[in-house]
Amino acid sequence: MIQLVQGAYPGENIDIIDKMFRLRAKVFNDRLGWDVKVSNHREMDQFDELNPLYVVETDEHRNVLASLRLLPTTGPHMLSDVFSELMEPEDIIRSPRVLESSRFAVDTELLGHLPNGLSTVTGKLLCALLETARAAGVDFVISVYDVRMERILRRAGCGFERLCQPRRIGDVLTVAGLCETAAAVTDEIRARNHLSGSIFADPRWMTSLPIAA
Amino acid sequence: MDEAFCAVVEAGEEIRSVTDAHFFLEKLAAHYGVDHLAYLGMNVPRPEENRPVFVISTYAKEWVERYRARDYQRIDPVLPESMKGILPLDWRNLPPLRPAAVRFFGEAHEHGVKKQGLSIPIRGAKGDLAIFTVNTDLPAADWEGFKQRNIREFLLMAFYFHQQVMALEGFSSAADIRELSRRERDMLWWTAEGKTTKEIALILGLSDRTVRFYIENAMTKLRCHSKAQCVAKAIRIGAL
Repeated sequence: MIQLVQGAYPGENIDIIDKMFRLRAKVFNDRLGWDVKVSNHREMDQFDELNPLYVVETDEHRNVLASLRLLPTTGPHMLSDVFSELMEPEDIIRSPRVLESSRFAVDTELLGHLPNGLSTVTGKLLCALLETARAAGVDFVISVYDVRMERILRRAGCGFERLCQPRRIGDVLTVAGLCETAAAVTDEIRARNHLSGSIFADPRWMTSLPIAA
Repeated sequence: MDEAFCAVVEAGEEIRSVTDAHFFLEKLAAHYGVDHLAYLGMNVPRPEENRPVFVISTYAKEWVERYRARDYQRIDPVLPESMKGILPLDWRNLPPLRPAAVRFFGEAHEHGVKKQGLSIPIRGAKGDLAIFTVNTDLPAADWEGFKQRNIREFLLMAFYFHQQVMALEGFSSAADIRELSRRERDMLWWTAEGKTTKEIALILGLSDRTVRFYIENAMTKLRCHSKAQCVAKAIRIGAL
């Protein structure tokens, strides 16, 4: 199930958000060794203070399988404020029709027993991200990621395209990429991962979800 | 994109005062055939007047004054709900209304506010925040289709309008980058040469979607709504 949670107003999903911050600490600090701030076993940065929209995939026990964070590119975001060295200043993206996805994390321990677990969970999360964005009138999602992510994304049926040359930042070969929210893209992800029907927990969201791009 | 719409967008460039901005909203509402458009800016710096919100709307004057005089932002459920998110809020998705909010909507309807609303939050690069609302009395089934057809344009209009208001207030947002990048100029140049997206992709060895992305970014920077308009404007301002 996919939950959409407003960072500053998690309501009854506060437990899910807390588990997401713990997952992020496990993934980005413990496993990948990124230069991130962890306190009390939770990873958070300044962008979490800006009331982002979290897209979170949970199992039936409300465990967090995977999550990501969405920020509007019209406001402060990672490519403009943290990774601006990847692009020329006039290439910085400021558009109401472009969202930025960041902090993509998957709990690989929870997936251990699932066949194609990583690809399926990744596919569902990306599909939710793109369908959400499309319903809101957004055409593109950009992201800054480790080039090693590209293989995982492709396997899930979602090719991001590079917007710049990869650069080594710290220990990570980093690149900015782009994905379109068009129905053709989500159809491909759905087909590849055998997803059908609504993948959202809140049916209210689906009532206003345009199907056509 | 039709000519009438381009004319409206061009008129948006001519906003020099709050009166102009108000007039522009009326033209835009007429273009879409909606009852009202309303802009509400927050954290828009206004040094001389310490007003918490900045309102420009086509709502009846009595309603706007009443809203302000009675501090209705305290009970208006649309404000907090749309500010919570980064995505447009359809009023039908508001949480169950409290009695005060029900009375508020009752009074709003008496003053000509219609039942369907889409409130688009805008977050600027400098902490500026705004809500741009489209308001109509279309029946539910028609409203859904209308919304889906126009939401992409509304996002752009809301953003452009906010930038205009910010400029009026003598405050240029960092989001207001008008200089085209090399890639964007390449795309417009080939477009001006009559090449399609597919052809440009072939020429430059990029994918179609990357070409569409750069063209769309150029359009946003130059505040245009079609490729043709964008090319014309780039030439006019000497960017090509």
